[in-house]
Amino acid sequence: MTQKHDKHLILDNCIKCSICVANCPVVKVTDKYAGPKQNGPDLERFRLDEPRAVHPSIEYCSNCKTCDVVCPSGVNVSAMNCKAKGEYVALHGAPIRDQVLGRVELICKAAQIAPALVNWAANVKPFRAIGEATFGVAADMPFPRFASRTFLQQYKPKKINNPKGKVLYYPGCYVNYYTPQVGLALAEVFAHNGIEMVVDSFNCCGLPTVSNGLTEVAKGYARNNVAKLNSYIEKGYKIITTCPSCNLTLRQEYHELFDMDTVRINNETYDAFEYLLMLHEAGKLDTRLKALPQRFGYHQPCHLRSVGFGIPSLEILRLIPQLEVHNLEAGCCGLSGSYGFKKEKYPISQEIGQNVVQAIQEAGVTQNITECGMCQLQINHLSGLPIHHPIQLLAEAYGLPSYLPK
Amino acid sequence: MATEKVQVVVVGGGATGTGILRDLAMRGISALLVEQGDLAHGTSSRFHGLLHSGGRYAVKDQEAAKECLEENMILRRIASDCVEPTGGLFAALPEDDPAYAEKWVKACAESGIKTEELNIKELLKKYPVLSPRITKAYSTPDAAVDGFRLLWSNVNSARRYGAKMVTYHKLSAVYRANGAITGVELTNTLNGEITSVECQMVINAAGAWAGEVAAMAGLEIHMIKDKGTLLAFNHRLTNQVVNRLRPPGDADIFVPHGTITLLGTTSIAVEDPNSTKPSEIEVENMLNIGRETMPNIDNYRIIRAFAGVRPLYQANKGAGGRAVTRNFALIDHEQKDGLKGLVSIVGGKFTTYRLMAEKTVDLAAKKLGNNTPCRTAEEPLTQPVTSEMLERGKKVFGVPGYKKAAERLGDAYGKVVEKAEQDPSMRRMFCECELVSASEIDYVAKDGDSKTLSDIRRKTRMGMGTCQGIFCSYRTLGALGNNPQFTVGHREFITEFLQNRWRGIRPVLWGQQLRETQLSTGIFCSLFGMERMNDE
Repeated sequence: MTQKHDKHLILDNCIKCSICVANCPVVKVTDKYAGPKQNGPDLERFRLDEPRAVHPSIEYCSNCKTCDVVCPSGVNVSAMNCKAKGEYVALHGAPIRDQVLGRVELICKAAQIAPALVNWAANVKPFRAIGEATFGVAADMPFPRFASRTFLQQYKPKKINNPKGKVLYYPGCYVNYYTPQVGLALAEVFAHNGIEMVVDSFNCCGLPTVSNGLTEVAKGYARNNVAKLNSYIEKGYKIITTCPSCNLTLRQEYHELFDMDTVRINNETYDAFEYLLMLHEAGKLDTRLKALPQRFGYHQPCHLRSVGFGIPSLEILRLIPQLEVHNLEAGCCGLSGSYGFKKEKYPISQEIGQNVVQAIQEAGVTQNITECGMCQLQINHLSGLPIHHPIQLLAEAYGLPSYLPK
Repeated sequence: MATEKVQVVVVGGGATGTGILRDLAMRGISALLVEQGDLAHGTSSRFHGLLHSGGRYAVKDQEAAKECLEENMILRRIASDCVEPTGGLFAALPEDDPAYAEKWVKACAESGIKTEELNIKELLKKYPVLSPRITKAYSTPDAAVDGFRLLWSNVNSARRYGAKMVTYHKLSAVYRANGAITGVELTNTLNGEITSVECQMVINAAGAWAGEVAAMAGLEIHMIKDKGTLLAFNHRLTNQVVNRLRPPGDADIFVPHGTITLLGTTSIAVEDPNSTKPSEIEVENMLNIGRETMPNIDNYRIIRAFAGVRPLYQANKGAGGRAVTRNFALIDHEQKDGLKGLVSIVGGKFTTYRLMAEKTVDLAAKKLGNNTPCRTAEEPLTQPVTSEMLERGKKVFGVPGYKKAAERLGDAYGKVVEKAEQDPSMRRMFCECELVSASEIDYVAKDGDSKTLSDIRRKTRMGMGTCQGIFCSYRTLGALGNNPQFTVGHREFITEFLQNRWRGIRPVLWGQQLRETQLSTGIFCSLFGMERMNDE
């Protein structure tokens, strides 16, 4: 069956129950967004006749994909919204700000000229005030700090004899440019368990680009990435990600949005913990872990929830003696990538995140973990508490370099 | 008892009746149109909404085909808001007689209907829903037409020329003296009030009810009542009308209509003009035939079925079903029965309603000594909404909804936009499936002709989309609280509305529509406790 047929059939599945509207984190805090149902399946009927039938409020969709998760009818609401946003931007253009924020890959590459200088400039208040007034970039939302050297610059593959598995690690922009310690900790964990890990240079997965309606740019990224990933899969590599958004995009979004055949990529791509859990279930994971007598709050990123393989990190962390991880279960943190950096959306983003703040307070935790880099940034901004990727805790429990701040 | 006086009383608020009203008014003849229900509640809203190119009739009746083509072109001009110029296509399958296709191409050329053979490969790429077994396909100038909107546009235009129109009034008596009509008695079906109207002439345009109207004057007209059932699909399956290239039969027309697609029809003789209940067996039979043109048809969601009664007329009895002519007949009862002042217009098709009206009013005007020529083919029904007003509408209703609202509202669009500009809460979409704003519903509810939620539905499409009125019905009723018409009897209003929706859903109660209806039942019967209300 062709994708075209699928789309129309899925459209027919919507029974207008409005569960997506009731659960939409944006709708909860603002009436500026007409909601996932109206912008998605409702208007999709009109777009069969008039492709430009997009509501301007589509720009308020944060692309968190909660609608997809809660839909009891299997409607791909968020894909409809993403395509609609692309249609809207194609027709009306995007502000310069969105065109820049959407091209994370270019920002990061440019910043590599002088990361320290960029970090300094990014936090100078008057500069940020000018940025808000001129480009509409929220002055109060801190930018993530560039690492002095990228993950790809730092990572030295280790030779492993008789590896139990071989994987290609797709670090994504966030780990590569901002939090290389996550990738390095992963490399330690894999090497420790006899897994051979290789890397390569890839394009940005394209999710920030899609979220800003720059569909054609994202499509270019997708084509390059799919070709390269397939070449590794052919050589017997599994694809590993630590960023849930990259994972979701590679596995599902290329197909949903661009009608690309990604069946093989979907089958062969794993979240790092999903892969470790598989090893564990096969009895191949080293479970000699030292005790970590600490408490952490865990935040599940929306896109991890959307991919739909559960929370494998919690299962693995449970193997660590005396470690107490409290699942915050507070829903979307509100940042949604570049969304919360936009002046008009910053207050919405902060209000959505209050649920997480409240959950942290109720749990009484003073440090947190989450897989998504952007969620880490937002939760740190909202709570002022330290936050890490769960792989760093695992590395720590193995007694390996965990790159956790001491 | 109230009394009124007009030159002509027109009976029947369908396409023909409203067309006649407008024609009379434009020629300066005072007239009153009487409709027993809401406008278009009969056959004029219960058809496939196809504006024929004439292609369907070309082989059998070239005169009829030429009439269709000519009227098709006139309506595109005078009623552009009501016509969606989709274009059509005729497609043949291997089991269809190739000789018919040849005859058809020739007959279309002779009737002046422009056809063009289509590349099958390209056609299938454009519409993957079509059968790959299609052997030949031609394009035609078919179009989709909105019955509700066309009728209201006629009435609104007629009213501007001084005509009157009442809905929910039944003809209860025809007065005659010395072999001539002198007036009629009307009964308000909502409150039982009786009005008598003095007139020189009655024009019977009651369609399937024409026999009943004639009987009131003591005369007989033998109408053949032929039920046709249609299916409404949840979305546009194609963007063109799809006809089967073979002699006209059941379930061989698909018409994309706004957001939906209609598949029709059946042809079953019935006794009662009110026999508009679609049956499950008809639905099944239609799907069997429709599946030949669109093999995946069962995967697409059907939101409802509905039926209309074709008022066919055959002067000499004997024929039935598809064999009966679709042409119209104008009966001068002065000549035929010796009763002065009664004219009946029977049979015909929606596409040629204007021509039927013109011929009827030509006869009526002659009898009344009026020799003003007909102008209905030249003057547009509505003034097109200005581009400035459309821009303003776009700002308040957004790209998806503003044009649709302009098409529905015509001359009233400006008022609806202004209200939404002044009060942002009026911009909200009450009917999210069909994009009908609070402002539009508020305006229509107050127009004086809206007595029930179904009346609002017919004018706005509220409740005609995917959810079939689950949410917009109670939302609307709640918001109409300041409107005296709708302040009491909420349960009756909702019940009337929902029962009409469910009537159409019952014959297609499977798949997603079954889930939809379960949601509806859950909300109204459990959450609102409407079933328990019945017992009290």
